[in-house]
Amino acid sequence: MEPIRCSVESWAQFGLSNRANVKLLLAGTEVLLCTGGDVLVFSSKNKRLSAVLQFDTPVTHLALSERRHIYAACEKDGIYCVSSPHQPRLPSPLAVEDQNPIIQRVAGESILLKDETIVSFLLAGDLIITVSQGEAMWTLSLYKVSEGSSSKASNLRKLAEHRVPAIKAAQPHHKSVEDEDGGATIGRPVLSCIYPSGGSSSPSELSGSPGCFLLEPALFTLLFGVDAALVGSPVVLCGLPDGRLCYLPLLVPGVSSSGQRTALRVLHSLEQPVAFIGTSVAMETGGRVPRSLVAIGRLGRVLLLTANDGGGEGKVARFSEFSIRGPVVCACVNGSHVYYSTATDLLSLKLNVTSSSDQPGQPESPSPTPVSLNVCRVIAMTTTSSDPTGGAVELLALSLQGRLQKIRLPQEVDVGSVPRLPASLAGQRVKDLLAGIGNVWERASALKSIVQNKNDSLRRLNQALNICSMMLSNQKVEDQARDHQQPISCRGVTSWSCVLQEDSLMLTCTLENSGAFALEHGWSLCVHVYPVSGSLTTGRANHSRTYTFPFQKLDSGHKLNVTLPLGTGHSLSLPLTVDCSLIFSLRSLGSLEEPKLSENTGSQSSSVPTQHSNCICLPLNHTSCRPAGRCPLDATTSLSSVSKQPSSPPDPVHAFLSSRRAERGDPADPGQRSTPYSATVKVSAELLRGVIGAPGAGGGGAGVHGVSVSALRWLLSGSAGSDRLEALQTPTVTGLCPTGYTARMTVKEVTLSDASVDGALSALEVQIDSFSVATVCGLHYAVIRRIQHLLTSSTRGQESRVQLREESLRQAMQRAETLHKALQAALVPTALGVSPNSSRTSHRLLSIYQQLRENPLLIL
Amino acid sequence: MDAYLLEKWTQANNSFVKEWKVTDGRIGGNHGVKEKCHKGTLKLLQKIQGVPAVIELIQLELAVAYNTLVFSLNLSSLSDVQQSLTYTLLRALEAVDCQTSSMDPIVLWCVTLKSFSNTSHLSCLHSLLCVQWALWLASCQMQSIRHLLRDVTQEEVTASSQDLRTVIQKLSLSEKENSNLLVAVTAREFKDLLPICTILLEGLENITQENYSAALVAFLQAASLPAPRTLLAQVHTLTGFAFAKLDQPQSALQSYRKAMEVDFGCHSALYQSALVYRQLKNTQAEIEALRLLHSALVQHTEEQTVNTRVMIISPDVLLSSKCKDSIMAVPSPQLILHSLACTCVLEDRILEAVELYLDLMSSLQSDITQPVCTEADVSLPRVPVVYLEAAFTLLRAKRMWDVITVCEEVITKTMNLIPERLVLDLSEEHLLFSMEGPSKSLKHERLEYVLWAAAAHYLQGLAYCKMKDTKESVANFTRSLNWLAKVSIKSTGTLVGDQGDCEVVKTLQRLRGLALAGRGVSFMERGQLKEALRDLKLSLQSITELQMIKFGLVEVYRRLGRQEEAIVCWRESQSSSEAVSSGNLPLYLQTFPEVSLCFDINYLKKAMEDTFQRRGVFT
Repeated sequence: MEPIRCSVESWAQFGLSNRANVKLLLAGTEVLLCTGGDVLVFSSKNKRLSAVLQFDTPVTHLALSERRHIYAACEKDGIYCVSSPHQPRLPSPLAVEDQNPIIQRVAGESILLKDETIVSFLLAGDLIITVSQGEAMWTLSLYKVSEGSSSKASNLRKLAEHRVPAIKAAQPHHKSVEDEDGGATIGRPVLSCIYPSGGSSSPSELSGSPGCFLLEPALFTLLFGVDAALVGSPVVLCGLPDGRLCYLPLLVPGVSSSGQRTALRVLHSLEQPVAFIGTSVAMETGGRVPRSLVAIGRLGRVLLLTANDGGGEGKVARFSEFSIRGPVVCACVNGSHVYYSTATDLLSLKLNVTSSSDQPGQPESPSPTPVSLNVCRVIAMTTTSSDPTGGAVELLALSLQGRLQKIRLPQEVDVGSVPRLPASLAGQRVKDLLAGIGNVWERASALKSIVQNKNDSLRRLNQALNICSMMLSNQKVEDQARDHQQPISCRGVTSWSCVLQEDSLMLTCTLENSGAFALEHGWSLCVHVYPVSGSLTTGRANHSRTYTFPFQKLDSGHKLNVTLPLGTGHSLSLPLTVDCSLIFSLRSLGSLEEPKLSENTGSQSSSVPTQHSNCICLPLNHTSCRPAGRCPLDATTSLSSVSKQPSSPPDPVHAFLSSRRAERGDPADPGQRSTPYSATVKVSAELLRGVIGAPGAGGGGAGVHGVSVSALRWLLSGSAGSDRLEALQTPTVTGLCPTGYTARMTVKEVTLSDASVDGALSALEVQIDSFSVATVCGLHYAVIRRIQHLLTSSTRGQESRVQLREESLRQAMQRAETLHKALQAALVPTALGVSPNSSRTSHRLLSIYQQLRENPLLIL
Repeated sequence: MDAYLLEKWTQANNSFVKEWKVTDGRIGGNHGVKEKCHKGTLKLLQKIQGVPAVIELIQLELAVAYNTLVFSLNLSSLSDVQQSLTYTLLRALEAVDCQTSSMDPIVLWCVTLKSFSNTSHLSCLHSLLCVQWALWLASCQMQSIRHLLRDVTQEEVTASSQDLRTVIQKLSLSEKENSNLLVAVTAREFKDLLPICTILLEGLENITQENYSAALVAFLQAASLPAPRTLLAQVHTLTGFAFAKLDQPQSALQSYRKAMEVDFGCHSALYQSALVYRQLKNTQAEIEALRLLHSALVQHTEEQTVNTRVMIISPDVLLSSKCKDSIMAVPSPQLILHSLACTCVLEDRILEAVELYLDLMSSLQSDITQPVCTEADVSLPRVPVVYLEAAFTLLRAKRMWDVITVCEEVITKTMNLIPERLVLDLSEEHLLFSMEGPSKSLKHERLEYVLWAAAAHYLQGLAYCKMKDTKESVANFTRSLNWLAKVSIKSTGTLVGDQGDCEVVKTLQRLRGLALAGRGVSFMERGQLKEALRDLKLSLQSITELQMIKFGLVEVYRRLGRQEEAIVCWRESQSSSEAVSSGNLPLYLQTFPEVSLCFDINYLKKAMEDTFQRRGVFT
């Protein structure tokens, strides 16, 4: 093996009076030396002796407390406690000049414990553990030190005492070794204190107190018992000269099983005097927690204790022993290396224990071989408190000649290896991990689904808002340009169909999505149907109905047809207004309620079209202010209902029954009337010309009635029976209402001579006759609406050049005023709270209505 | 020459005695100084005995011998005392030219006392006689004392009565003092102490023979004699003990009270009265007594070093009876804390118990204690057991996370040590448990590891169950069962399981049942009713007498909609009264209603009553 070069730096040389009791202690920048007689304090900073403490008898053991009190055991005397001589001196410049060390005579007053039998002691925190040699007993005593601010105030309280019988070891080698060393060190027990790592009682800084070591909990538990491990008790290990390693858990109360009262028990026997006890990392795992306990005998036997898997037996402590060349004069541990000196050479021993389970048949792992460091005659050493993980190791050593030297050796680079888990733990760990994974997965999947739901909701909400904004912006555009096509539009077509032998009017709404966005799940088409003038027919309930058609998806460019009944036969109250709207329900966003959102929409109800707190409503065809969208529907519906009849003659029985029912069911109706009700609408032909075209052009061979017929055709166009309109020759149409009444619509050409200043004004008069007031009203309304629509769409651009005569206007005004007065008079009883249902009032209102309708104003 | 020597030796003797007394008076009396004095006087005695015995020197020699022997007694080195004493007597006889062939101390004393009967040296001899008495007292040779004292009183052998006390009453020893010669302790002090100690020892012997009434008479007489405070307190305590043994607890309590009135430091009286209160089932008083004792002990250890004024001849040296030690012994503060805590748990004083357990645990982690020798049956349980008991108490106090933490500690420490498989052969075990030594302890210890780890998981499971974390609780109960499954019990069948060795097996069995029941209930809460039913049924096989499990079963049946079975089971649970046989079980495996189950029993009761009512209407 390649020899290791290490640099040796010699610091000072002292005379040694007794080579057996040499001790070396490092305390910060100061080195405490026990040269057999006195205690020397050497400053490593200035490289010079700073103080000498003189005792009456030779000092055999030395310790330094955290508060820098020096404890010294003197031969056949006891333990003294003195404060470090440097403390009272202030670092004045004068002190630096002063080259002479302080010589302090330690008086007998500073004796802490007078006991001549003490052979060794250990300072662990605030405890002093002493070993005294009795006649046939080793006595281990525990004392608690309470240090005062000065040395005098320190006092001692005895806590416990344990005894172990001594064995007179008669070993032939002893004498020779002893003689070589020339001292009586053989007789001194070695003490060390082991703390479980991670325990509460272990001091934070162990480097300052030699003889105190950390040990990993598993091995600790194995060696010293569950009880000691649970309470984190420090354990005092005492290596006796007869080779026994005794241990004493400090905190564990006496073991319960009677008979085993003594807490001090024997761990192992090296069968040769113990030279060193310590803990070492000693594993290929690069942890910093010491995982093995090392004991070295003076004759070179090394005991290594590690925790191993016992193959089904749980963990077991493995005791492995091997021998190195002795005698071991002194030793110390740094990381995984043990450095020991055999008076002639300083050697380094790497403790490397395989963590594999030791099967009975398997040969022992080869014992590590020591490497010579080529430094001779070291009799005491200590590791400097350098960082054990990186950098070189530094040892402070005292040679046989009394030379204090610093040995610096290169640290071999450790290959960082992954700490391995023992098999017994692995099973449990795997189970734990799996359980943990299961838990996390469960939580994660729940969270994921929530997130997904939310994303989905947000996406759909976004879509809905897009559609809303599109529609709203389009509405604005549409306000300016009339013929703008809505991106999403709804058209309605009515048709008659026979349901359960009853004719019913069906409305087919076609929702066309020509916008860029698809209408997704959550949207529904809402059709609101309500009669426009239901109040006229007092007997019937004025009921409006709303139909909602939710749909899954409507892609752009697709259409959706829905068909709904508007009413059958007599229950149909015409005309009807149909409002279509798109509704997006916020509830469909998911099961979760979104109170915030509904609040928001509630507060913004003025801008966002909402009806309810939890849905968005987009009107498609709507509003009274803009009748253009709805008008064709109303008109055609009304007219088609009339015009349908000629093509399909009604079932006589049905007609009969219907009429019978109608007679009975309509008490307000003055049953037998000789003359039918009639209403008239006058429109200037000029106005209609744009629609019906030039006379004769649309009519084909219509003859004198050309204009009238084409006007009638126009009125009836777009309804169910419009395909038969071509056959229409006379300007009169008779239809059968669903209620059973017939109605007749006649268009005449009239010439009004008094209306215009320019002379005669040609006009068209549409007369509606029927025995049913409701039918008359409905048809009249339909015609008016149709013309209104025509007016609004055509007024722009062309201005009426017709100059009206003032007189006729005034006349019309007067007539209107009288009618208005009459109406108000008729309404007085109603205003006074009298039932408006009285027949008198009805008659009066009816007559007013008739007057109104019979002398209509000319629509220009 | 003689006069000079006499003077010199007298001075030397006096100086040693002075030094001794100074040291003794000082706090914490220095052992080394005393040793020095002892050695000094011993050397002096050897010097004196180096010259031929003459009557002029005999007084000095006797005094020095007396001092030496007193020092020896004080330093508890009794080995050479008898020899030295005999030699001194022989020297004395030599001085008066009296020969005797016998070396028997009693004969020797008889001769010596006769020879010196009318001399002025009799008082010195009487002092020595006290040493002899004390020596025999310390080594419990009552018969020798009787003979000796009879010789002193010079009664006829015919009148020899067995009653030592009457002899002592008649005893008169001369008490002349020589002011020139200092003695370590005056003969009078010595003589005051000896009779009472003798009577006490007699009483103690009676106690070891379980003759309590005789012991009581002796103690009562001892109490009437003058004695130092501590000794008197001990006498009262012993009286109380005898009363207690004679089943007179109230009288015993009176005696203990007297003992404490005499010397409040007499902790054993307090402890013994606590024991009496426990016997009387006066828990309140017991707890109070134990609390007082604990605080007194804690204070005592702090003050111990401050005032220890020991007598030169302490009664403790003279009364080295094991029996007395065991009566006067007071358990360690930790043990008292534990017994207090246990009492509180069993008395449902949970909050108090929690505090006590926490105190105990912190004390275990920080206080270094000298093991105190007490009776074998009162000792602190193993640390893991204390932890588990603490966890159990915390569970009852509903501090669930604390329970989990404490149990985790136990688990991490024991887990590594459990083997994959532990075969327990009961027939073999029978031998094992009767055996002492390491072979027994390893297997037993491993069995305990299993028990502790499983119990810790069980308690964790309960804690999680209480917190409604049924997933964790199921996991923990399962772990507990897994640990238990590692122990396989091999029973040969021939074994009669009435011995204590089966107790471990019973405990494991019960733990298994409890863990199964816990898991069953957890499964039920999770809605896994099939598993719940299986576990509860298995649990019922392990523990037959526990009502809680049956309630659980009823609830599962109810949830499964199996009304008929629920009713049958309910009736069963109502008819069988709960047998409280959990006496020998560890505290942490006891069942309390609030610990065992998670669902509401009252609700179940109501539901079942409703069911019955409905049935009543229908049938």
